[in-house]
Amino acid sequence: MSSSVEAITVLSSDGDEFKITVSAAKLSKPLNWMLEDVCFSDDCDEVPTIEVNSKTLVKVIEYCEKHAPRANSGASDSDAEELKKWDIEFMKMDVKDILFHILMAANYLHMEGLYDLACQTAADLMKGMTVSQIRKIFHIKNDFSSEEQEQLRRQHPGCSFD
Amino acid sequence: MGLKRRKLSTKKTKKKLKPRNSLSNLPDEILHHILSFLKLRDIARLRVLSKKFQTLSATAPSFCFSERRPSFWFSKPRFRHRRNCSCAHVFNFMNTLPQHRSHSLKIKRISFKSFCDKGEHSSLHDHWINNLFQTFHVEQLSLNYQLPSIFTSLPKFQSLKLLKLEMNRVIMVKLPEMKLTSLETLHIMFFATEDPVGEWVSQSFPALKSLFLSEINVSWLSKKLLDLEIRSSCLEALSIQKCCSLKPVRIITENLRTLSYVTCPCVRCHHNDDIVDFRYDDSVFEISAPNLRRLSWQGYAPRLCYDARTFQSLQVASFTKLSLQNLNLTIQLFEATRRATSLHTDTGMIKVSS
Repeated sequence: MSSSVEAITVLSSDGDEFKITVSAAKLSKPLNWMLEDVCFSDDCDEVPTIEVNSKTLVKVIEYCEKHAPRANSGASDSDAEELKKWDIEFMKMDVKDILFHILMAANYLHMEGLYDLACQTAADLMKGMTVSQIRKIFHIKNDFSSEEQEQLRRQHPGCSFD
Repeated sequence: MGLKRRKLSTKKTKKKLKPRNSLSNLPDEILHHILSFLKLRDIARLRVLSKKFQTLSATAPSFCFSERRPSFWFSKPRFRHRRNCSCAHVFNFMNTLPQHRSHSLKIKRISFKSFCDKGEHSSLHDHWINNLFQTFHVEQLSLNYQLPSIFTSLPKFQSLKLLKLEMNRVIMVKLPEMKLTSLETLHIMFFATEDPVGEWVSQSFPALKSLFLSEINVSWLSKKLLDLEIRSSCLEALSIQKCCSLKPVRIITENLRTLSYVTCPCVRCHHNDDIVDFRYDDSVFEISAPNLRRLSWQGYAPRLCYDARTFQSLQVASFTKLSLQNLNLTIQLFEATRRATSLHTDTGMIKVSS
C-alpha cells in the first residue's frame, strides 16, 4: 500500500462520503493538521467527519480543487485574472440557502481565501441596497419598537427606511 | 463496513453549524469580517436594520473613509455621488460613535481612500479623525490617494501606537517628519520622491520589522537615480518591487531573515514624441545581512555583492540576461547554492563552466 495517497475521503454532517485531493485539502488548516496527524492509506478505516452539510461541502471542495494548483505553486497574472472571474461566477448563489453555510464552513475550516471571498460577496450585496431590501435578502427582522423607529428616523434624516 | 467516525475538531470550534437562514444568526466574528469590506457610509446605515446591527456597526473592527474622487476625474454622471460629510447618517454615526463603543475596544484598521475636495468639509473630517485616534487604540492605518495635508490632519504621530502603516499613492514631495516607535510593518507603494527613503525609514520607525517597497521612483523627468540605503537594525523582512530608478542599493541589516526583490520590467518615457525604453538594470547591490535565510530574486540580475554564508533557501526566477559583467554574481550565487538547502530556479541559466 503506498503511503502517499492523492485523495482522501471525508464525511459530511449528513453522512455522505466525499473525495478530496490532498493538495486541495491543504487549503484548510484543520484538514492539513489532520493530514499530518494521521496516515491516510487505503487500509485506513477512519473516515473523518466534517461538520458541514453535503450541499455546502460540494461547493467548498469545488473551490479547493480550483484554487489548489495556484496555492501550491505561484501562478502567472493571467491565471490570477482567470481565477478571479471564476470566483465571481462561483459566488453567484442563493444567499440564505448556501452563502450563510459557506461563510460558516470557511470560518470553521480556516480557509482564508474562501472566507474573504464569501464575506466580500455578502458585503457587496449590502452596498447600494435600501434598508428594506437588505432586510429581505438577509432575512433580518426589524426588532425596533415604533418609538425607537421614530427616534432613528429623526437621527437619520435622508436615510430611507423602507 | 463499520467505519469509525472521527470528528474533525479544531481548537476553536466545537459549535454546531446552523446558520438558520438569517444573517443575524451568524456569529459576530463573521459579521464583523463582512463589515470590514464595507465603506463607512454603508456601516453607518446598517444601524437602522435591527438592534443587533446597531451594536455591530458601533463595534466594527475597521473603518474606511472613502469619497468619490473629485468630480473632474470622472465626468460621467453615474460617478456623482453624495459625499460622506453631507450625509446626515454618517455625520450622526461619527459623532455618536464614542458613546456607543467601549473605549477599550481597539480599532484594527482605519483606512482613507480619497478625500472630499470641499474645503468646508475637511475640518469636519479632521475632527472625526482626531476623535477616533484620541479615543481608541488604532492598530493599522492605511492611506490611499492622499494629499500631503493628511499628515497635518492626523494627530501628532508620536502619540499613536500604530503597528502597521500603509501608504499607497500618497502625493508627497518631501517625506514627512515623523517618529513612530511602535510601528512594525510599513508598506509604501507608488510613491515619488528625491529624499533618501532608507534613511527616513530607519529614523522614523526604529522598531520596524517588515518593510515593503513597491514602485518607489523619482519623478519622471528627473534624471537623478535614487539612492537606497536600508540600515534598520530590527528589520526581519524586506521586499523591494519594481523600483525603477534605484542606483546603488545598500542593505545593511543585522537581523534580516528574508529578502525578496523584483526588478522593474522597463520604464517607458515619452521623450520628444518618441517612446524610449530605459532599463536601469545595472543597479549595484551591496547586501550585508549575516542572518539572511531566504532570498528570492526575480528579473534581471544586477551586480550584487553578497557574502552568502548562512543561506538556507534561494529562489532565483528568470535570469533572462546574464552577461559577463554579472559573472561575479553567478559565481557568488553558485557558492550560495552549495550551502542552501533548497533551491528553485525557473531557468537553467545558471551554468558555470570552470
